Amino acid sequence: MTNTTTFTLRYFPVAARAETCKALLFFIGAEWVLEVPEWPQEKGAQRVGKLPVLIEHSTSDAEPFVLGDSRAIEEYLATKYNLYYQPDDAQLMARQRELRAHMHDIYELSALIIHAPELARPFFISKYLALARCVVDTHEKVLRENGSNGHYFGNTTTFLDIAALAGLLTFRKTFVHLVPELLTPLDKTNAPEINNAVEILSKDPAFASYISALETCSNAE
Amino acid sequence: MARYILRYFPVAARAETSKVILSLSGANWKNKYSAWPEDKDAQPAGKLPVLMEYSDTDNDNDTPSFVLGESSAIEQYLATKLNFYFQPDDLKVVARQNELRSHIRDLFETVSLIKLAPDSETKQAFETTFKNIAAYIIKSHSKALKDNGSNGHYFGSSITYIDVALFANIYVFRSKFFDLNPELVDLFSVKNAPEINKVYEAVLANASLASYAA
Repeated sequence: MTNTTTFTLRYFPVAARAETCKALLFFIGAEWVLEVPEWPQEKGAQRVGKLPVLIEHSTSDAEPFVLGDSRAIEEYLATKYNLYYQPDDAQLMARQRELRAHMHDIYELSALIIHAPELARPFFISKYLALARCVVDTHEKVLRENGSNGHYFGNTTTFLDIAALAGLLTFRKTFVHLVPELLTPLDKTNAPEINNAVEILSKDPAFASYISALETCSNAE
Repeated sequence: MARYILRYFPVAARAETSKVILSLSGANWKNKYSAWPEDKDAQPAGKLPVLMEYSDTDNDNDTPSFVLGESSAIEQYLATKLNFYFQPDDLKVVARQNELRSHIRDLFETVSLIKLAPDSETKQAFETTFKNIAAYIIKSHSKALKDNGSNGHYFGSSITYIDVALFANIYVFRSKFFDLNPELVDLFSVKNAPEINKVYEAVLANASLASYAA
């Protein structure tokens, strides 16, 4: 009997922390659905009371595999579907994780700015702008050194490319409405290589379904 | 044989899990403290910690063969290279360990925000967040530890990555540097989190961590 794997991604109906998970699922052509729980009624039923949660249904397994935490989900999918660049090279793997962690840092600080008490917002915006400057400089250099071909490594789409596309498109969609100045370090003037990469990747038919879904997704508030 | 330098501040914080992994592994390593903010721009993405790996030479002035930033990337690199993952060839078991590690990281990041908070209202908001997420994590992790036989380990019967991460972070939460509200520290007391404290004691018992018992 052929093994069939399908996924459920449990999350809110907004463009936020689960976007790279969604982009990965679309990119690999997985059969998957978004399940929107009643919240906060179903909070206690989640692994540590948080979303997203990935549920993998495989005909070869007795029970579904349930995994929480966006970072763990991304890493699992990227490894399972061979989306890391040269996964047998421990140092290259570490480098990819380092660069992905930069993007997480940017996202988490931006989410904090939106949800933190108003009094603290200028303080955290200042932290964000300093962090974004350093991270953008690093990522611009990596993309340039790879030939400005739209990819962080090699010449085919890998995990970091997918994360960059999902991240930047989500930022553009969300922050232009919430805190526009957060987008400035990531705009075409300040991050030309990153924007060039995302523009090239956006034309890949493999991302068409993801981009379409993102456009119709509600903004996080 | 490789040797390592871990560049960080002279405090128990974000780099602690990596330090414990290096200590337990018996690797040749040492701390290096940076002048800050003078050294900031010389670091990858302007942040610490940074791991520098050297091939088998004794001279600190040699160029490192590999330089890696980001505490999570450093930990995963060391945990993989020094064999701290449980069943590293099982993708789902590795994913579970990464998930558990992220939970513990969420707690640390909140502690970090409590310390960073620019005013008392923001600090209290972060303290409330810590209490809320700690409640879920203690419940979920205690169950995982019971399911593994309440033996002081998350997986199997010897120290693995998540045991180390939990130990290091409990140590950090109890440290003078963060000066965490005693009510928050008490959430992880023996009385309130017995399974978690079994892990702490199991890791602390290792002879190479004698300095942590001081």
